[in-house]
Amino acid sequence: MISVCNVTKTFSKTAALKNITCTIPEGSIYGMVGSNGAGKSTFLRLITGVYKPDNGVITIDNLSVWENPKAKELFMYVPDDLYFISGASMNRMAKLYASLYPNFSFDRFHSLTATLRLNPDINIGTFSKGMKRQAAIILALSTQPKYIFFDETFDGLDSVVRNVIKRLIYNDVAERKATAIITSHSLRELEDTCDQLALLHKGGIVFERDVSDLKTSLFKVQIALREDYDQSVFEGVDIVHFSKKGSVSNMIIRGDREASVEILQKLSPLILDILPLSLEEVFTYEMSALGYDFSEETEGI
Amino acid sequence: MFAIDPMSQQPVYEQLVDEVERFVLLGILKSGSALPSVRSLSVSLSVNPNTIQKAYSELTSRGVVFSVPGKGCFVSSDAAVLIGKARRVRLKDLKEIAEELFLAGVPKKELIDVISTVYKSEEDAQ
Amino acid sequence: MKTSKRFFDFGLYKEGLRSVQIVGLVFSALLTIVSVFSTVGKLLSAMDTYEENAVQLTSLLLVNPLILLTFCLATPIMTLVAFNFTTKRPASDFYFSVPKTRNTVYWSFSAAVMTWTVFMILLSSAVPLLVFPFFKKYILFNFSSAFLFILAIMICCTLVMGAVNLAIALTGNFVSNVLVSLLIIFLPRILLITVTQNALESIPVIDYGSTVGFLSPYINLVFGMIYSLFSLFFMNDGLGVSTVSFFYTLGLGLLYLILGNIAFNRRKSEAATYAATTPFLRHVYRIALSSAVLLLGTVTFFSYGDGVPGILVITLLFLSLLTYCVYELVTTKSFRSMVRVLPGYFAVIGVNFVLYIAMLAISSALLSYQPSAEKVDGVYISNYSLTSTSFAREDDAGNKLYWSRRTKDVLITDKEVKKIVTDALKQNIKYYKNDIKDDYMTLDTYFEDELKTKYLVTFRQGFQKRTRVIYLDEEENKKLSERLARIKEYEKIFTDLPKPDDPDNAVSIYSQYKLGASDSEAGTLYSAYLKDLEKLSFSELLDLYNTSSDLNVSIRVKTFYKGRAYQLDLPILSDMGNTVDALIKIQKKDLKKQIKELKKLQKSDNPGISIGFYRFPYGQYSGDQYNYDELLDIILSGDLSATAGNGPFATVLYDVGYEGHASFFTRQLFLPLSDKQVNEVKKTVTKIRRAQSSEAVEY
Repeated sequence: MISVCNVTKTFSKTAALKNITCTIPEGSIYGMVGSNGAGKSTFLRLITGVYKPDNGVITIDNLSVWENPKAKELFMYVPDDLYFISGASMNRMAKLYASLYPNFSFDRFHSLTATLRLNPDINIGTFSKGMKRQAAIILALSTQPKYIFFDETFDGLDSVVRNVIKRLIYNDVAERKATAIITSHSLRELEDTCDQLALLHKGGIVFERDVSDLKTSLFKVQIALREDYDQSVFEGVDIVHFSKKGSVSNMIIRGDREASVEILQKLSPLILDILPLSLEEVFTYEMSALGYDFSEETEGI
Repeated sequence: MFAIDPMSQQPVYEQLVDEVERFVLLGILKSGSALPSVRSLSVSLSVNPNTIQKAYSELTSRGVVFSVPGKGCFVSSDAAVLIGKARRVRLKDLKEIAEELFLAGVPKKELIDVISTVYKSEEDAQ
Repeated sequence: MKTSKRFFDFGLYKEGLRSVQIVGLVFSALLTIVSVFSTVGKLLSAMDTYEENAVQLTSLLLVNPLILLTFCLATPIMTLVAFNFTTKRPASDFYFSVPKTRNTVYWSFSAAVMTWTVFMILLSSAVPLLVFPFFKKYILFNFSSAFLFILAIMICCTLVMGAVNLAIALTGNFVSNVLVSLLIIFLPRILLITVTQNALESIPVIDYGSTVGFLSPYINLVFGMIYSLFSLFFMNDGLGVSTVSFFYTLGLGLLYLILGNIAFNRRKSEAATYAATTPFLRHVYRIALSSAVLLLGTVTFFSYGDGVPGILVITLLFLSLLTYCVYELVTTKSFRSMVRVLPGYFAVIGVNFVLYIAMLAISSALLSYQPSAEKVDGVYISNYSLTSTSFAREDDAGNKLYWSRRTKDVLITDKEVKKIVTDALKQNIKYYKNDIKDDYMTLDTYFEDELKTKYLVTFRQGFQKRTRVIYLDEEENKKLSERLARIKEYEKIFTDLPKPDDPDNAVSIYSQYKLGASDSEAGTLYSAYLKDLEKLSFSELLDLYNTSSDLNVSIRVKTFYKGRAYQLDLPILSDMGNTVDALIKIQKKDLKKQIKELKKLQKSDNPGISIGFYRFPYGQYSGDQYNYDELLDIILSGDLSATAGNGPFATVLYDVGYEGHASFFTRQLFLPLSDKQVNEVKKTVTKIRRAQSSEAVEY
């Protein structure tokens, strides 16, 4: 379990992260969404002991991370800006990793390179950007870590490869109870992969929720009543968003679907349509409910 | 084996629960047979294992399957019956549809014909 | 096991070795190839010139000269490469996220660099070390000094690596890495030397050369070696490399390594690509560098005051300001940033101001020391030119060290001596303060016309010793010399020379020219020399030690005094009867052969023979002068078995080459002249002079 408690990190007077607290349970695939500059990479660098928090505590399996090799052995970090020793081949990098990480498996390494059809003998510098990313992922997975962190690794990755990688991650999570943190600036990337989602905005975690909860927490209702009415007629139902055109209203409702529908039906509506929402829409409405206006920023999410 | 549509608005774990129950009812998954492991299913369906786990937990709480630690999930002996009992809830929907059809002026015989045809073809298939 | 893992990881170490291997291999190959060629070349040339019984002396530095490149280039380059990851974000993040502590990363990579360094040093040095023992006949190679030299080089590499490590830990990009490394290696000592040297040198009563230890440029081996490349006091193996400098340099190197470790641990990964790891440090480096440039002006101003041309001050101010701006521009690549830090230049001026005050304080403190004779316990005193190592030339240095050491053993408590010396000090300082200071001349130039004698005096009060230079006028000088001559212990310093038959002493003949004398003959020569010395008065003796031989021959005595080795070069003067005779005797065995050689040479086109006459004033002649051949014939026609006694003799210098070889040496023959010969020479010389003057009249 990764525990982040009241962590702040400041760079030359601007706070990249302010009082972040969250817990990443074991065996989860934790997604972190945020626009560029929200603090995702900073977060990961803090967890991996690259940065030292200005205050707060970060522990992995109850071990403090900073300058603690025992804790660092537990995870692998795949950064957004990849680093390979200049001129090195995957084999050379593998040897280095093998000497640094106790669980490195050459079997896994060889089978992964075969699966993704990468040549482990040639200079990684000659790989395309996508191939480099694959190489980094292979090396990371070969160390069989308990925690693995992907910083915008999937953004823009081709879908065939993405699927392969996803399955590899699922395998590790299912088999070894591995935990993954994936950051992205696109919700779509994370939607079907993660089971936990957090939204990072301007250095703070806006919310953190189970994905299936998110998907079912809100739903859209289109309703029309015979007589004139206004919003107040729908009391008893938790309305997040309400708009009315003529006699047809569109509402976003939070709560138990069946119970809410029952209440609405009691009003004998002419039309009562229940529509599920896409995750993106859920996000948008949750945000506005919390007071954030993303009208300019929704492109990123 | 199970058909999951990730694009569908229905949550994946709900789909999986429905699929398992469908297979049980169809007799494809017989009592005592093992469900695929969480791991293999997650990899083959490309679905988050926690989602699979959630579905299995839901099925366990419904009594449709039971889990043996270290061995996996197995279909309970009375799974079909339990599912059947749960599905009975749908009779309510049928009631509503019948009311609608009555209002629309559809004759009772047509309704009964439809039901008879369905039952006959399903029984033939089995 | 756990503790060793905390500071070292084999995997990282191997990676470190790998990352610098190209540089390591290139330098190793370069050094070794040059070493092989030099060794073989030296060996071959020694074997060629062996006929003359000449064992060639050589040192490791001469045979493996590129070994100096290890600490100058190889080690710093390798360190920069190994730690290059600190200048790039992704690389820096990587090494800080691996499950090893920063200590481990730091020391593993440092060890890798050191490994390659040691490898290239040992590989290249192995060549002469393994080859020369088999050729002792031709090459005299001092193994112990070679090992010492290797040790010195390794210590230099340690210092350079430590400084570069520290610089890398404190900066974030390559340019700053290099600049700050240079700052760390050179700046402290340059500042120290510039300030103290100028503060001290402007005070004529201080002898800068006597300040050894911490203030000397040679205590820091790296600085010393580079400094000596610029000054001409080049250190040979043996002389000048002191144990103190070894320990000091090693200690400094280890200090830098440890400081580098601490800085590396505290370093923020996000500092990569920035000039300095904290904004504060950035200012520090820039101000330090610019202050150093301006310091030249400050120091000149201190020494010369109003005499300094305004243009010089303005130029240095401008240069310093330029350095200030350029540094900022180059390291941050931002014009705006440069403009923003301009007001900080006042710090540079401030630093210089403080240093100026410091120099004033030091100089006044030094000048205030004017003890009275009663307060002083005693003095150590000797003639300045005899013992001061200031600006000493290599061939003089040995002597000065020897006399300096010996005078330190005799504390003179004689009241009169003390009085003369303390009064002189007071007087000198008074002159300086009143008469000279305004003109900023040194006492040397002031007294030039007045023939003052310079003495180096160390005043002792309790445990404190203070060394000063004093100038005495003729009268005082006479009084002092007489007084000193009467102090037996003091006299003994100069009369009690190393004994020729003592097996611990090694006597040889030191000359530019080949005399062909064996060691035992040198011993005999020395004994004759000592006999001649007995005839000299005390002051004549002192003068002797201060001169050089007019025959270009000295007796070189290597001796031990109180546990340390010294080398004394005693000049042979032409008026020394016993010694010259001994020289003539030494030559007798080969004389016939050599004269035959000479006669043959005389007939050739370009004989290149020079003749010198001694003990009678008929001067020196070389081949293209009038009646030269006549003179030569006269000289060669004498009795070969004669000795010169106290009478006149001639020397003949000619070059001897080997067939087919470019190398040659110059032989010097001593030939006694009989009265008959002398007359004939007189006649010939008169002819020459007449011819010369008539020509002059004609013209």
